[in-house]
Amino acid sequence: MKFSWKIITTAIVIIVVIVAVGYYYYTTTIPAPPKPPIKIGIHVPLTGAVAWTGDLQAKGAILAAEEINNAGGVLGRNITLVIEDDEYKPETGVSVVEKMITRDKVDIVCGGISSPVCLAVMDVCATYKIPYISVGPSSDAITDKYLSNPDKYKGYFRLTPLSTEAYGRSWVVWLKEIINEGLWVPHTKKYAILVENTDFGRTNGKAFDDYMKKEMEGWTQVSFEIVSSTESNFYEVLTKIKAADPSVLLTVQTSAASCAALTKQFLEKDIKALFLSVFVASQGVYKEITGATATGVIWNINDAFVPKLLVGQPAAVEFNEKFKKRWGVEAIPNAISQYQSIYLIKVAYEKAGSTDPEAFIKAMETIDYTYVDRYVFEPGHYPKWGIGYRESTIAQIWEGKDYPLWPAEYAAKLGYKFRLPPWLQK
Amino acid sequence: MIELNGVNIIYILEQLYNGVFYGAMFSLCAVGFSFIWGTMGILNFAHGAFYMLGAYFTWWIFSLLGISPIVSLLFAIGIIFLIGVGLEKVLISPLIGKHEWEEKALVITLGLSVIFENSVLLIAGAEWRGIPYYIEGQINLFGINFNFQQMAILIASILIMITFWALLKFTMIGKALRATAQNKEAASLYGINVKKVYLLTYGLSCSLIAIAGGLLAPILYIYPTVGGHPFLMSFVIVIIGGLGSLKGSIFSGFLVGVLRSIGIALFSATWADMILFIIMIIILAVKPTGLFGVKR
Amino acid sequence: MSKPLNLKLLYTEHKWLTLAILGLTVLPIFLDTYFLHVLILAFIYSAVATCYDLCAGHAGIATFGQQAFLALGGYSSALVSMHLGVSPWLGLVIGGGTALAFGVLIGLPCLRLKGAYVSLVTLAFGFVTEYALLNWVELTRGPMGLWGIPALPPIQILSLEISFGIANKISNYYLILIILLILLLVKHKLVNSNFGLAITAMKESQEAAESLGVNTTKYKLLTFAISSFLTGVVGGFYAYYLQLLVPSLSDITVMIMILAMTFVGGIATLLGPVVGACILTFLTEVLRPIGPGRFVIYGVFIILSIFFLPGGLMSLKEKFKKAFRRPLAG
Repeated sequence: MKFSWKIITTAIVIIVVIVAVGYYYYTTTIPAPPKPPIKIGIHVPLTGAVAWTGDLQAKGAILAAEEINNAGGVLGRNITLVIEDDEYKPETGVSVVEKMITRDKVDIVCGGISSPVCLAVMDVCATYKIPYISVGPSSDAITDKYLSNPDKYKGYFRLTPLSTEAYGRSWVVWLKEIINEGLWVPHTKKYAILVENTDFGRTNGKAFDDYMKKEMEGWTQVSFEIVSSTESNFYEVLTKIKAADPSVLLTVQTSAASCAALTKQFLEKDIKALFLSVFVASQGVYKEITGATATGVIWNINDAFVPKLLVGQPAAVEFNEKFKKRWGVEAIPNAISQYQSIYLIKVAYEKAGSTDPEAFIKAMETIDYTYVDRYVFEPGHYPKWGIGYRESTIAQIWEGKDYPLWPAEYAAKLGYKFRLPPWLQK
Repeated sequence: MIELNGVNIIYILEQLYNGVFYGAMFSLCAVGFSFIWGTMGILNFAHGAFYMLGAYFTWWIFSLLGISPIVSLLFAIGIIFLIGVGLEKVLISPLIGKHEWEEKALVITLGLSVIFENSVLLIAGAEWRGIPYYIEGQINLFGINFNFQQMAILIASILIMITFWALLKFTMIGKALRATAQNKEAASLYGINVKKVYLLTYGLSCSLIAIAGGLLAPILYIYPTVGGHPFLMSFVIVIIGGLGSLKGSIFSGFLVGVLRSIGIALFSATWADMILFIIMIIILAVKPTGLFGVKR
Repeated sequence: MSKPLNLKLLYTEHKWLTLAILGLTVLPIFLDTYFLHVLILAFIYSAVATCYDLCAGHAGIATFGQQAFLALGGYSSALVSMHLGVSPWLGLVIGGGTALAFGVLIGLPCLRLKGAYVSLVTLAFGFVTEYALLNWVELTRGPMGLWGIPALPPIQILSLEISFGIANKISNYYLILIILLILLLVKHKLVNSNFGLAITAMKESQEAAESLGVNTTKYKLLTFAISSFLTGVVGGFYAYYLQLLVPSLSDITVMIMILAMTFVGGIATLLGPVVGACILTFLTEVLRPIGPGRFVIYGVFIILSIFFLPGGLMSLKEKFKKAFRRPLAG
């Protein structure tokens, strides 16, 4: 090939032109309003495997912003949302948050579902000294990172409680309760764990394992299987688990399709164990695609939106009605969390009296905000977990409906009790 | 319980059955992929997307018309065949014979897969969809539960592979296909229209993976990125079995399935995948053309 | 360089080049940090695509494992800096070295083969790499991703301290620009040397090249090794720039993207991969407001450019030349 410097230069000139045109395009499309609004950047996945959840989460934020603006805004200023698709990828997360901060000049960043994206975004926000509130990511590694340098990451807050507590301790407390009440008599003192190969799967599987070992005397773990997050064929693993004959099977997955497949195959293999699912079985879409087969499945989520809705907690009902009216679909826990995050920001700014990041962080650290959930932050910048604060819910699916069993308050109010799943009944 | 030296025979048999089932599912996925390469010499990166389309069309026809999923699958196969043929005609056929056309065709199929996945995302949304089992119910033999859907998939994929093999072996079309795969120039000298053969190859391969998509939908479910896993498995199977070999894909599919189930039974799922990869590397180091691959 | 640098001569001989480099040098002044970030990502992809093109375009090695070398380079650079306290500057070289070692290891058995088999072996290597990064949790933190990677330490030029880290876009921009220019220079020198003649001959016909006495395996291995090393260095830069690595860096989707970039820009051209990488990266960013539909446009763009510009965007230059010449000739 004959090489000509002209090629290199023409190409570079082309790049420069593209860059310049793109720059012009961006700078001219953002009008300068007379009274500057408060800008909140929201990153959620809008494409890829979790696009469905991300979309509803963004809708929660839009609803909150509209309400706040109609009621006069925050500190006399309107709220403008800048919603971007993080594609569930850390590098895209960095790109879009970088864009929000430097181009859109957002005052605060919020949102997220994926923990790796959150870890990457934490650094971007820390460098620009922009506060960051993560809504969905639940890995405890995020808090580890915060604690590794609390000064650098001081603007970071998470809305999810620590997973070890929300997904580990809650299960064990509840299992003890049903055993003590005589509602369930385990036929063996063995448990098995089957998780997907993501941080979510590994962390929550381990949290459950740790609490079982610590709290449940005489119980042994017979299997800890890690499978690909896109896997839908579990026959081999389930055959193996069946041979070990556990009384409890804990599963952690994020894909409703994988979990639905697992449930079906679990039933086909006729394993005489409780089927516990972290998070995914709580999603409406799981019940839709499994239908009646899911009767008896028990799920756990680090949020109490569903039982609050069922017991008719006014705030939860009100939110669900508003959400349905605005978007035509039922709200999901991620949507209410994202909705509340916008209000948290509003309350904190009003408490601080300005949008100054330092004042905002001070305000957040001492905030006590209640709508559907009550948010009070621990020194590690994660919310207080437990009754009356950010709660977990354990519920059982029966003929396509959710029956919350824990915390006991809700279950008692609703009159629900644990029922032996069909496959355990003689 | 039948035991031999402390080992539960039933358990071993059950695991082997699981492995064979796994092999049948993904052999079916791999056959079409290997077939396109064998005949046309291109890697079809839209393979996973066609799997996804097969599943979606089955589901669409099933839920819109309310007819049996088996009938909707048949319709879906027809539609996918037409789509495959149409795309080959418009996008790949004009490239044939040009400089580096195999690579360009690869990039085209790659663009197609991006378009398909995201169009479906726009049209059908990101929700997961399910199809009921084609045949409900199960039977208990020797303490093992055999469900009918699983058996149906197993039998259907074996039948499909046999039919496909017979098609290649005994029909005129099959002879033309094989002749083209062996020597394109010689085939055209004997009056075989190579472009038509390619058209048919692409259409057939797309229908094969669409059958897999519809057939496995009750187990793997349906969502825009569902094709990723079958596509990956097709790659692994074809790497072990050898490119372009029908026999290789089928054999290596079952080999992978059985090895995987043994790996899970003896160690864990993580280790089973590791063993699979190690075997893949060993085979490639010893016989880089795969078990049944031929040098071209 | 053997002869002393004569700036005046450089300007008169390579006017356009000097202007272009000058343009790229002053560019950051006009850009905000977000644009710089996208440009840095575009340059990272450009660099990887250039390495891929050296293998696939010039030497005819249809590799499918560039993503594995990128990830290996990134992880090894990050790990030696995090655990052994090695300076990230040295870490870049170690990243390259690790990729090189694996490149040779993989290259040895598979480069005797032709075409698609090389693709499959390298792709298998990509799978294994991703699998190892995902499951060797003790070392790589698995699916959580490796965080806490140090940034490149500041360098002192006279009294000016230049620091790197994710916030210092301008310094990172210049660094990746320099890496990319060095890469292009290496590629240009290689392709236009005896070595380049040999590998081009090899690509056209392996048998013919062998009969002429070209040791094809040696040349292939050498090309593959150089390409792996450079990709590893870019991986190291990626790690120190983003300060976070996830196993999906070694995913086949990364390779697919690199492949599309190279072909859209023009394979076996010096600047094709760079042009392709920049255009596709900016296309996704500019189309961002459209939402998920942007990927449909992205796919259509790839197909159209392959279909109507089989030589890639770089072949536009020739078309323009023809278009301008015709009226003169007529």
